[in-house]
Amino acid sequence: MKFFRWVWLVITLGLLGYAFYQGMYVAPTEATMGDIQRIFYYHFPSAMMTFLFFFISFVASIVYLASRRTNPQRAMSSDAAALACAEMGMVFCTLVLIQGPLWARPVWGIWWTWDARLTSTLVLWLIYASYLLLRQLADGPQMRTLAAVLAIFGYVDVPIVYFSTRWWRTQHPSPVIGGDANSGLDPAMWPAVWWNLAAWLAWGLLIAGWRYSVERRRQDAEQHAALHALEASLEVTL
Amino acid sequence: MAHRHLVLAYVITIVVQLGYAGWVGLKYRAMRKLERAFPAYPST
Repeated sequence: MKFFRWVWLVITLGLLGYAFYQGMYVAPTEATMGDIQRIFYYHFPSAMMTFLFFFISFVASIVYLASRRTNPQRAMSSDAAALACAEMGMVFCTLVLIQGPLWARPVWGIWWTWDARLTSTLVLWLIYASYLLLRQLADGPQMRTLAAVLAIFGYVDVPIVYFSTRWWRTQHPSPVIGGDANSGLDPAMWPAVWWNLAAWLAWGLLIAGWRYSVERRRQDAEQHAALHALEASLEVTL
Repeated sequence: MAHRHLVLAYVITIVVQLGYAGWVGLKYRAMRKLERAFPAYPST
């Protein structure tokens, strides 16, 4: 497992380097925005990874709630997966909220505006921040159940973020990918998009996978600690 | 300004991602400490 993770790390770093080269040097310069448009090559993958990791967290939370009484082992591994993916999604969501204003300032002339896309993304960040705070400040099965419910209800905001530019008129541009007939990317830009998506996906899976294994082992170690404490108290009693 | 923002966005992306990876590393160390303090009982 350790060897596999190291191989994955080497592949990921290679992918990240090549994706950077594609986005910064190979993709053509956009006609109206110029070089600042190249933020797109990591802003868009960050947004997609946010959706993906929150989705996995959402599914894992459902599995946790469904199996917490019937299959405790599966419930605990689902809980660890939900936590790992919520954290990874949170990292990508934070980056989306940083990269966006850095792109907006030279292009729109403002750092931020309270339009539907930006506001719903901030709300998504706040929902998952509260999820992580809950997990940090409380403990035990009740916390896990409450966190799973929060992750499920919090995920409702993801489709709102995604469709916000279609449902409402926003400062944020309409979807470039999968948008209306006049939208679309220059074909020469697509390799940079795909390489960056692949690279950040590989990175996200690597780190979330590592975080998941750390959390699973921590859960086991906590159980052992509880058993040791029980044994010690029995010795004192006898 | 545009180039500065482009570079800054990329640098922040890398720093935040590496920062999180480092934080997971700290969690790993804490977990290993717990594992050493409370080893698993041998299965019977």
